Amino acid sequence: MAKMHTPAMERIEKKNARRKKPVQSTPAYESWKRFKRNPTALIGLAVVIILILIAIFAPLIAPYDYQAQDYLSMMQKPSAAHLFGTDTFGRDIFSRCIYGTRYSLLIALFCTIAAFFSGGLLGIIAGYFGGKVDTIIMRIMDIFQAIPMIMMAMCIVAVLGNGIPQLVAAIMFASMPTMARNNRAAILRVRGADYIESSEAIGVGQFKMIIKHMIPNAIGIMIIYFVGFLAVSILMMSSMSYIGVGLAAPTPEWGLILNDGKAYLTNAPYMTLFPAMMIMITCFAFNLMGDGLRDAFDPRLK
Amino acid sequence: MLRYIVKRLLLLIPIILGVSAIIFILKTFTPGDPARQILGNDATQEQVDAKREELGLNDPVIVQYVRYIGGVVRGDFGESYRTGEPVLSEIVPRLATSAKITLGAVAIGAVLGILLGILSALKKYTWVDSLVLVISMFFQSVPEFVVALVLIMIFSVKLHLLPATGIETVKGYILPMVCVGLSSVASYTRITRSSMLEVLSEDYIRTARAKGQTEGNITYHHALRNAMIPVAQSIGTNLGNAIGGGMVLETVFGVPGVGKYIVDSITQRNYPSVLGGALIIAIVLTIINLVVDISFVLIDPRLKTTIISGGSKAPKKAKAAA
Repeated sequence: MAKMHTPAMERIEKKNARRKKPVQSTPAYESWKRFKRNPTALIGLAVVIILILIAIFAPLIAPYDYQAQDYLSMMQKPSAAHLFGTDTFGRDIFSRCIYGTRYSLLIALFCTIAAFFSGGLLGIIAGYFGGKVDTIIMRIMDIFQAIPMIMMAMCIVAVLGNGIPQLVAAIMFASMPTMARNNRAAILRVRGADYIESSEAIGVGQFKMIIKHMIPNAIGIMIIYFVGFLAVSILMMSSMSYIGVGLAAPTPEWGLILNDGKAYLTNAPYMTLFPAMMIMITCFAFNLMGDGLRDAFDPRLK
Repeated sequence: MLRYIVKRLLLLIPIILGVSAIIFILKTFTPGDPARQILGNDATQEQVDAKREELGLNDPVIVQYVRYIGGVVRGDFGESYRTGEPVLSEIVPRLATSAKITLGAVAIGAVLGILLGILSALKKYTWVDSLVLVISMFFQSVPEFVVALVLIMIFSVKLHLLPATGIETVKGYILPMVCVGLSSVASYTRITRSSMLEVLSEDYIRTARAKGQTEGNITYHHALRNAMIPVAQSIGTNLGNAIGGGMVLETVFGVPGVGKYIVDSITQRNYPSVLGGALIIAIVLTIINLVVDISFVLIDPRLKTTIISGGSKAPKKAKAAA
């Protein structure tokens, strides 16, 4: 049959010619292709990137120091000089929210990493070894899980005191059972695969097996949990700070800024509105992104 | 079945031992002297020492722990440092208040979530589906206390319809219930949606269509009933979250429930109350989860294998592959 020469065919040929190397088709590339097609996920990603930039360049963006007190301009309504208004100490709420991005994102990141290295690791071990090891680890996790997560975290902060390392430790311990369960499930999904059995048969060591064969194949699901937990830890952190068992003043953490403003809800709602918006936007972006990742890495779940 | 129930009830023992051990360990690391705290700064050192002896604080931690567990077995959860009352009798009336709020919240969250989930499953991949996703995700992203503040602003401050704090009238329960409920909408929506989509692709749905059933009939009689099983099972997990969320919101709304009691006890370093509250919540949650599991085995005998064997044993390799 003679070769067709429709305009569409020509376009396709031109496009193929432009590609220097053959089309890659690794799982990661496929996932990225699926992620790219998802508009809500891309919006989430864009907002997260903007927030990260805000956190990095906070000193350049914020017009005032976050703890500079100005008794001449206390509790001012939002204006050109003070975009989000000022609080009872005359501190600029916009600057505090901008710096708050830095604190909240960093603390959330620390919490999530810590949770992955404790609970996540336990889950991986439980999932890989199975049998008695699995039973023992998961029964201990059941005990931890019998206490609601936020209550556990509050008890730990009560003991350790208010502060960033204490808060990270508290959220880490409180989230250990959930993390262990999720990562165990992720490992169990690849545990029975043929290539794992083959690697076992040719005598691959246990450590190498986990690091080189199982984690790379389960990483997609783990990333979904990772991003999802960033939002969870921001919510927990701000809730705890709000009721007074989280960080201590004058840290510009969003929950704390909200706590400062709660007494003036009726006459100065802007004091609570803006930090609340920051929490909302951040968690919303992480959740959108996490949802996009879920569809991208695990199309079967859709 | 009976063996399974007994086995699950026996699991309460390690949970009680474990939860109290965790809090005992936390307590030993806490700075400050509880005896000094009870008596205040004016008390002499002799009085403080006497109080320490009376509370048994001079004994080794392990002795204190064993004594405490001995008490718990007899229903004695210790006495509050602040009031001197038995912790159990302080918590029980509060438990009823918290239970009302939690149940109301679960009802609100489940009804809204299931409706939204059905809607997005029936209109899958349309703008309705995306809108539902965005709405449910919105409520997942807003801290409960922010929702609470906004609702207080609207319904208490502006409209004067509902009280901002307290539960003197029935109206006082509405805002806390709605706030806790809204935060769980997302989880119910997601489970309902995926479960509905799965059921709608089953053969018996195609058969029902083939024999000419109306779409409404198919949705309600054939799909929904079967799709509800995983949703109902998730209520147990959501209860735990609702209790946790309730702790924060009881503090915001000034509701005298277990959550506020524990938060107050934490800030006052009133350890018998923290410990008692944590233990009672852990026991209640475990029993609720057991009841949920058992009732599902009774409703749907097919679940017997997944619940009874899946919960206690590590999955075999072959099962993981499947």
